[in-house]
Amino acid sequence: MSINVNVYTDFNEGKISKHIYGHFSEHLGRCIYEGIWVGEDSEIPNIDGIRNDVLAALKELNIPVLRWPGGCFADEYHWKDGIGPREKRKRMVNTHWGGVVENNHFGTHEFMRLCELLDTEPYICGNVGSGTVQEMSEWVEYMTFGGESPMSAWRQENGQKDPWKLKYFGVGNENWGCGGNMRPEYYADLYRRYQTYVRNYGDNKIYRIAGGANVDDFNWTDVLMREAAHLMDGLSLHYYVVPGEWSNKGSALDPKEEAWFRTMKKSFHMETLISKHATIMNKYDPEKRIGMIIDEWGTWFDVEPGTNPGFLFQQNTIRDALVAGLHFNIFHEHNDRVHMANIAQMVNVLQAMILTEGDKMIKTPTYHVFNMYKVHQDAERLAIKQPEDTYEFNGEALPRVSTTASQNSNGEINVSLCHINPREETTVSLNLQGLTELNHVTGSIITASELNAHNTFEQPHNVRTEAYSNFTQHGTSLELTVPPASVLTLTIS
Amino acid sequence: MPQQKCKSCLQSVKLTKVELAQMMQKQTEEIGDLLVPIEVYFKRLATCELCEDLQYETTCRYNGMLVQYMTRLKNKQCPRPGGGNGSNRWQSFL
Repeated sequence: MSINVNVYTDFNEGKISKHIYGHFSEHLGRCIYEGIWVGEDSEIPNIDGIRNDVLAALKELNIPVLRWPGGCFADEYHWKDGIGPREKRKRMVNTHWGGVVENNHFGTHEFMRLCELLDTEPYICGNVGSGTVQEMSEWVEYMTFGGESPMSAWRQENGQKDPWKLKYFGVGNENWGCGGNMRPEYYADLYRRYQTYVRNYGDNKIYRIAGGANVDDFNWTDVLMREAAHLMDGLSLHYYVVPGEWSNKGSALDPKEEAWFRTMKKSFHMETLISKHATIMNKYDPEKRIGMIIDEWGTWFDVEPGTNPGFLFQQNTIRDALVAGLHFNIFHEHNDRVHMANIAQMVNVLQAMILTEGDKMIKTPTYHVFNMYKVHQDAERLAIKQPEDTYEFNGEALPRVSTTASQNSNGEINVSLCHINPREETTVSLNLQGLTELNHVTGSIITASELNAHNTFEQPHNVRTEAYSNFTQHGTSLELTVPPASVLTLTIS
Repeated sequence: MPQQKCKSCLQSVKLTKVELAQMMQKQTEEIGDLLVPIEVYFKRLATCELCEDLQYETTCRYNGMLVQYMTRLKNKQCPRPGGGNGSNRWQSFL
């Protein structure tokens, strides 16, 4: 099997926003508590209550933006419960996630500290479903106002003298469902009202994100764009790759090719969804001012056997690595409209980067793909042409190789390939059109022979990135031997 | 038709005794010979049930596992962090 891929190094298709590599951390399961926050008195080494091992691993990913506190949790979160001395903070019940007790020890100050330590931009999601306009307005004032005001004074009392910089603010979450079960017409009106009071203080300019559609609810996008486009900077979209049905999603460790194929097929569906939602957005916003913000995406499997079903803890395999790579390639392809994406979620929940157990931590295959792909952040996308070449299973076909390429500000070209065929290797002739020579080529790859290969606390490096050199150079072409089920990135100087 | 399910409504951290028993039966059958002797299981479970880090009467806060399941597994250890006096409360049962 062989395939020709042409990369046009002199044909620039626009910048790939680094925010496509964003993350999401919700008060759910062990994402925030235990996964990130252990408290200052924990035996787990920490800085200001945030565990050091997780922090160091995440820092390596150059996370550009982090969404918090939800998710469904956001529309039940009352930010004033999460500030001030921790011992006096209100204990509440997080009913959105099945009655979890929330002690509010991780609140606004702790989240902003996490962002500071990660050198990442905060993306706060406000409460429309059960919160008031005043509450949302005061939160923004508390965080971003530097002058004299009750909220600014309160922030200073709580130890933060200077206002924080906050660009991204979501006005509600999944308001078609857990965020209020609203009709789009009703939410559009609420959005118009709430966002009015999300003020810009001083030089802090907020990028307002409206709660968007669930999967293929194109009517939601149409109504929101029709009624409120002029008042928004971004409109969200949520889509999860669930290989089965919601009642029986499938095991994260399913070794069968059927599950593999269905997962890849549902990953490619993201392309269709973005195209269709973008077509609607184009009708109202042909200038493409408004960003599509895919602030929840990733795999969603049945929880690991023996774990609490409400914690949404799942293992992460080479299949997840392919899902991540395919999504990035699709997001890159739509870099004119997709301004941000946030994988769900960062630690211990759904398609996570990191899994923890007590004081132990492992990096997942998805982590390694994020690390491998970070070279594309804010780089210029290069045009690609490749013939349709398929991977077939049970009479259905999918593109066998998905490719993306970009050039960074240093002139380096990075090419990433996802090879979804799990049975056979493929030879790829990679032709770098427009170059006269290739000085130096390096590569890294993640692959596995078992379709459910994953890392465990006993074998933390079972699936990891390795150096890739299985290619030959012919002028400005490279002939690559690409193993089955693999994601690889080449850097060409 | 767009899917209008609220995802959070599908999940709960609290399990009824019946739900727990059903899960244990199904999952224990799948474990096979990776189970510890019954007396070790009872000692481990009793320790977990008195642990201050047990949540919702079922769940270990350090790994999210249902203790009624975790305590049966040969390859599992008490996941309490630190290595100090409080860690690995099952050690003496091994």
